[in-house]
Amino acid sequence: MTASYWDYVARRFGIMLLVVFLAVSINFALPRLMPGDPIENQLNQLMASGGGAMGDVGAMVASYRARFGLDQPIFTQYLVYWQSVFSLDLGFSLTNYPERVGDAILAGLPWTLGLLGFATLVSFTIGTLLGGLMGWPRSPRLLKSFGSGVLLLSSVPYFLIGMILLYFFAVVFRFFPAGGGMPFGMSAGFNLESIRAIAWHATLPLLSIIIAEIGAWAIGMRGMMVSVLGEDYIALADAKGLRPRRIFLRYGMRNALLPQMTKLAMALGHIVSGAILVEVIFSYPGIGFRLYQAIQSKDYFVIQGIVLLLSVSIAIAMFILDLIYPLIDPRIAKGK
Amino acid sequence: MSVPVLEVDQLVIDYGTRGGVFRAVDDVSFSLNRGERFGLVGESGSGKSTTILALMRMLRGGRVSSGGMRHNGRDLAGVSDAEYRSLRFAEISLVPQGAMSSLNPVLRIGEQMGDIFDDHGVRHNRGQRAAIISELLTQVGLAPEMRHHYPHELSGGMKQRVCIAMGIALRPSLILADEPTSALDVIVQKQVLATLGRVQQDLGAAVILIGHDMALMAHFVTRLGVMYKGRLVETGSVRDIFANPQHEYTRMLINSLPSFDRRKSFRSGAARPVRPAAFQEGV
Ligand SMILES: Nc1ncnc2c1ncn2[C@@H]1O[C@H](COP(=O)(O)OP(=O)(O)OP(=O)(O)O)[C@@H](O)[C@H]1O
Ligand SMILES: [Mg+2]
Repeated sequence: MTASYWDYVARRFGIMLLVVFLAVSINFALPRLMPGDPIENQLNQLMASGGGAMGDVGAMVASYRARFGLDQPIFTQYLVYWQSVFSLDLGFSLTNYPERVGDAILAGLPWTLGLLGFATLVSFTIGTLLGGLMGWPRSPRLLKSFGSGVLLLSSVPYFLIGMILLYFFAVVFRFFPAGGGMPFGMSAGFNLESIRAIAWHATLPLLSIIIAEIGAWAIGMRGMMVSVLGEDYIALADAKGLRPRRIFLRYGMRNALLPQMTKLAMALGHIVSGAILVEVIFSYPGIGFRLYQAIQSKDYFVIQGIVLLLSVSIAIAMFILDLIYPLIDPRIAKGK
Repeated sequence: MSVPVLEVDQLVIDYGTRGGVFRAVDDVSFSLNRGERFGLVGESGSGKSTTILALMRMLRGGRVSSGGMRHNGRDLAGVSDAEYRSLRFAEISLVPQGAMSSLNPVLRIGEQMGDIFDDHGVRHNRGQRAAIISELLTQVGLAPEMRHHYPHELSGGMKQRVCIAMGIALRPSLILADEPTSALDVIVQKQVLATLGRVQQDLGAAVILIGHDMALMAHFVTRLGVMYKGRLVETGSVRDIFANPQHEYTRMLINSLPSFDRRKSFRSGAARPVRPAAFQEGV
């Protein structure tokens, strides 16, 4: 884990850069490949779909023409585009002009990362543990049947669970708010009141994701555990007279966990796209809700910005996973 | 004569299968004296591994239907599962068939040797533990530094040696070796067997060696048992069996050896096994 590890890290880092490079390039190329002028296309569509409240259209067209420098050679445009990506300057929102796309993303990102990140980690932890125990022959029967019940829930889509929770706990019994990230008019801060309000608003969306996702993690882990327990090294661990607890943790879970980690990184990378439905149902002020609104109103540059963020965040998540993986599986860095 | 290390008495083992009950071991009896080397040969599926798994109480999907096993005179049927765990490797150890895949890929060699001590209540401080593991590795002809390595960094022969080192860690009185060399090339096979023989002699442990290769077997063991379709069809000294095989399958096994091997095996198998030192050891 010295020279070969750094070699490996360098290789993985190169791959990540390549993915980011491709994502940005495609994001650059797509609007230019579309027939006609992308800006006029957008604005015409918006006009046609009846946006009287568009603000100063003339100023927008001028601003975009200047920004894209559409009269410039394509390579210059490309360089300028990279520059704007680096400075997080992704243009303006069409519907909320003059809001900047970068600002819109930054406003939604903490909400999404908080909600989905927390929900993903919690469901991963519970689901993985549950799945491991379900695949372990010595587990109590009760736990296994409880687990089977939880697995059933995973076949229910989480937005359905979300709507059921919403109906019962926000509409019928008004325990929790029906939507939003915090009370109207309140501003987020690092104080107890604010944190409590945020947690209170996040409870139902969190629950709906966690309930729905635990099963998926558990199913994967149970399968892995069962197959790991069939391995020769488990048989030898048993023959060695090791304590069941050690066999479960150090020989079983430890090995079955490896593919779960890959899935976890993927899930974390897909947080933004995964957030859309739950954020829509709970009108949660995250990036998924924003993307949904942008798609509805054809807010082209916001969509573009969020999609770019999506691809970059997946690339980064995979890179981080690549960094940790050799630490949990010593075979990786040495491998081809 | 003192109590045998192992007595197997009319052992019957059945597997429950979809097609009904399958009798994998049928009325098998044999016994081993202290420090004795016993070879078990027989065609594939004849019940050799099943017999050994029963001794470890590690049958999967099978059960001992009748008969019994005694270790140093103690009836193993009366031992509770928890007690059986502490018996494993402390009294009866196993050198597995597939050493290639028998080591945990994510633990260092030293860790998976050390946990044997931990879970059998043997306490060491860090220095003692390192010294003991180094000593074990040296005993099987490996460099002490191997304890810092992961299994994928070792060759097949090295892994097999690690398995042998684990098998002797708690100084058991009986070592069960299920084709410990089947995945290795001929030269390494001999080296590893020689290593097993040497450490076994140092310990004074008895050993049951399972294998298919009659020539290799004849070099290693003093007594042979031949299994056929779940039955132990003959047992005897290597010399007697080679000179006067009783069962059809035994004759076939011996006749399938090249004649040079047959003579050599017969001679060396006679009174004493070839001294392990006669094999070149190495990795
Ligand atoms: N878990 C099991 N369930 C059902 N039948 C089994 C099981 N394990 C083994 N058997 C059957 O029991 C018989 C004996 O198997 P065993 O593994 O003891 O053979 P073996 O002599 O060790 O063969 P080999 O030389 O190929 O290792 C075989 O016919 C096998 O199909
Ligand atoms: Mg076998």
